Amino acid sequence: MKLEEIDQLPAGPELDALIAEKVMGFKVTNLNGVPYTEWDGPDPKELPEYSAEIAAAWIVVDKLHLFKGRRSGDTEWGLCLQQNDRDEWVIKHRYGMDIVRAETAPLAICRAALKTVMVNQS
Amino acid sequence: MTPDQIDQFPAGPDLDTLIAEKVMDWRGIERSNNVGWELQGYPPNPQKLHIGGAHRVPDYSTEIAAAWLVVERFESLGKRLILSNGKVSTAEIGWAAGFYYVSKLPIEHLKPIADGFTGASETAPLAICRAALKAVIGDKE
Repeated sequence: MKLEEIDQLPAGPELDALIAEKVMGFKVTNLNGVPYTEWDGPDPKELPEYSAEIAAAWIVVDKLHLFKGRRSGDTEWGLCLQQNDRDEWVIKHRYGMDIVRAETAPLAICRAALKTVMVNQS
Repeated sequence: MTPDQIDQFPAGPDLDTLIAEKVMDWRGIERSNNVGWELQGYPPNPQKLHIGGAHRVPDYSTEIAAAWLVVERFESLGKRLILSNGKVSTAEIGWAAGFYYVSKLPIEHLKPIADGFTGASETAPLAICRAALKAVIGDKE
């Protein structure tokens, strides 16, 4: 997936599954077209709605802390989330570079997380 | 309450109750079991957690989903959120938040963005709550 394609990903189960796999490190299984993460007892666990719910998206933000920021010598990294005058949610690098824009904050967080993971892997 | 006092306000039920009253316009809040309750809870408001005839004050200062209700409240009033992590002062690393009218602070000019911040904390919900209180105080001055 190219970085530009991430900007077009809509919120929903497909993006949630991508986040679960690529960012959170879960194994995702499709059952009847519905993605689940690992089994929790006899039942599969439904994916959190990372791209739609702010509480779920914040789990992704916390995960990003694990591989960026708060390490010695890496304190300048910072996510900046803000709404602009077109009611888009924008995530910027702390010093101004746009990373993503989206119609909701959870979607912006998910797109930024995917981009962060891809950049780290390349 | 002064801005300096707001900067020192810890997360918890006291701050949650203050946010409910000053920012979210809840009325008649009383404390029970260390939680704030809006006792005149009828008719039930779908926007509020309704338990036994009263609305429970959300954990604004500790839960991001509850803090986001504050963000949405400001959005309805024409103010937008700016939220950042990383270095918020020369000494701390945490979260910084601020609310601003888009007409007064165009996004493209936010560089350095730290100029827009009014609340800071170790956590995003607490930074949002402190910024919200300062915004309310500022609007009333």
